[in-house]
Amino acid sequence: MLDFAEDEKTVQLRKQLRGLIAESIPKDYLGAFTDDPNDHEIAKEFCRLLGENRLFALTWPTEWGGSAAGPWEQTALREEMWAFHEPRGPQYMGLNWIGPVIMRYGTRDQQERFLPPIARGEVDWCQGFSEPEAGSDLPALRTRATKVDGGWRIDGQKVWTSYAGMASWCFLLARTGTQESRKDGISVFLIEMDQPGIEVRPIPAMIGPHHINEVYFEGAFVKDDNLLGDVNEGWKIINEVLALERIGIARYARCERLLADAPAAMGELWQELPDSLVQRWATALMASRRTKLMAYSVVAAQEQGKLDPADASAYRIAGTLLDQEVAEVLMDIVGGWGLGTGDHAETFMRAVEDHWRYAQAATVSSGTVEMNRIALGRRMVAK
Amino acid sequence: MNNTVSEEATELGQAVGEAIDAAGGVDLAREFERDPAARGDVVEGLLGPLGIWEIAPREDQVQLEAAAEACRAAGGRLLMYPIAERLARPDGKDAILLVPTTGRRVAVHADLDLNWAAATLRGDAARLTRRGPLIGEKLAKFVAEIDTEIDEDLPQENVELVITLQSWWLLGVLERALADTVLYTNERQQFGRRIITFQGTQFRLSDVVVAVQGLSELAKYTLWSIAHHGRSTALVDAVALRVSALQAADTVLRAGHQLHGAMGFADETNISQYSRHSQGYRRLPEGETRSELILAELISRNGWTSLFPIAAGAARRDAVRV
Repeated sequence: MLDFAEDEKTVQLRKQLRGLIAESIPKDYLGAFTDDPNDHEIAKEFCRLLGENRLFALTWPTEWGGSAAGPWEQTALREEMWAFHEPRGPQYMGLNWIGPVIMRYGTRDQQERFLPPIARGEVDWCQGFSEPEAGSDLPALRTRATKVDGGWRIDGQKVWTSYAGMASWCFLLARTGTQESRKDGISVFLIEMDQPGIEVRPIPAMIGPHHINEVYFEGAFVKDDNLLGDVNEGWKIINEVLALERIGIARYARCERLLADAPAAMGELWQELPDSLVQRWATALMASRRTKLMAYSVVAAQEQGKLDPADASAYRIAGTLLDQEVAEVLMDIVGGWGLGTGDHAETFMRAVEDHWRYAQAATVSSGTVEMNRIALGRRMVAK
Repeated sequence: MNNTVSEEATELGQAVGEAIDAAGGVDLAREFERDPAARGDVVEGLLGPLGIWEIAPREDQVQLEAAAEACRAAGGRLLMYPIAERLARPDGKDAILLVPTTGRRVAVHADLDLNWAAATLRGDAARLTRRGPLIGEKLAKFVAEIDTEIDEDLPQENVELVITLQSWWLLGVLERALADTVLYTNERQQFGRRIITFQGTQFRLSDVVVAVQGLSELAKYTLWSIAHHGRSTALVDAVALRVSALQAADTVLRAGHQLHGAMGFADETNISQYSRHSQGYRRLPEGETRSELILAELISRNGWTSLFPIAAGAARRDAVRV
């Protein structure tokens, strides 16, 4: 029988999270990725706070510092964090997919070294996937790992690497087989960023500082015991990462929050809006709910071990397009205020402006909308 | 969280589908086009023995889900009969009709001689003062002229239920249209290939899948909402579902026509039937734009439930602006 009520544990978790956010996060906070270094500090402090309350790695086993919570609490955590401008900063990556694959493919030593600091909210990771000639076609990657005494030498270039300038560790894909071996010649390395052979160059971009960077590897070194899984066996790990990433961000949650805030935030201006715009606002509320329910159906299928990856793609298509649709509606609502206020008091206007800029990347990052359409389309071709 | 309807509801949906299939499935719509007066008796003979009119959707959630699955199965065979309107009947009536507040006064299935209650999409009660004959044209084979008197201060019982069940009927139509289009594009060959192997076709179909899956999840939520929330919330949610159904109908049937090519316009293809006969429900009692405006009006007045709820009256606006 249908039941969309939240269980009591999840209701209490939301209350607790909103309480912590209210106490620790300034009202005008728009995420860790701004020009203000204090914003990154706020995120780091908040992660430690979540870690102390065993809320950071909520669904991880207690052995690794988690609380062994279920998928619905995890969903609520994702929603609350994204709705409030991801106060965990870049650390959601370590939690959502880097930690889980280390749990699954890492050696005992790797698990003991890497998992507890992630669970305590102490470490920023970045993800070294895309390269200039390997975007959606990831198996074309060229960054090379060459065997040397005691480890591997890394040479090559990554690009669009989010948070590389902040991260102390990188989840790096490198070629260990021939170029022609494509998927069968890739390995995963856990590499320290603070070393002479690695240079990070930020790419100034409309989505904001720290979001995209180039990372150059020239004789960088990674120890043997930081190879994750077996040599040339990285692709199955990548597939798992991409599947976890597809569900990762609860974009609809920020859409719901900003749309719901609009009438009060606009004050008298709300009365001035044309009916046609309020009509779009109402329709966007419906679309946000619909996308949230698609996310829930993916979580439910995952919980039952019956998730078809094409359905995750369908949700991701809906979620990323929603983000852009809502961004357009909100920008239209705030009008000229959306071009920048120069005033930190106008939190809503700034949040809308930030949302619009970030939403432009929604259909590109973590797997383009086209790649998801390909995945969904293929399912319909009869064998 | 459970997004699966009860087994009883699923079983009833299957039984309804099998009964309609045994009588010709979508061909029944063609038969009713030729002889619309036959639909009452034929449908009574098909669904009556299943005990469908004994379902009381307001009694409990299992019966509500059963009513919804029956509508979805009927939509999936394009059963041109007011199954949603009859299942949502208020006490003492045979069925409930949704009527327009502006433009031409017409309604789907209003020709049938039933003891009708009537209401607007805003939830106001209406009285049916005249029921005319069917218009009978290509897009209105089952649409009849009516006259009504609307009482704006009197809420009509079960209006959210009929809006929701009609959307479940539309969901059935759209799921079937998607399935038929996938089948057709897997069979049709051009340039020596099945047309589904072209990326352009797959991309178009993937948008259709997203629209149908989204509608399906929202339909289930809305059903649960009307079982668990008061009337003002349930009405907003039902109208939101209708808006989603109308948007999805546009996406699914437009793609269905396009991917069937010229064949899709021929009456012999089912996509043509889905497209023509769903028009009544897509345009009446209010079309997509008016339904969206009414949704905005209802949210402004009654609020909206979400992770960040909007309280009743919090988004209220004093006057219409253009």
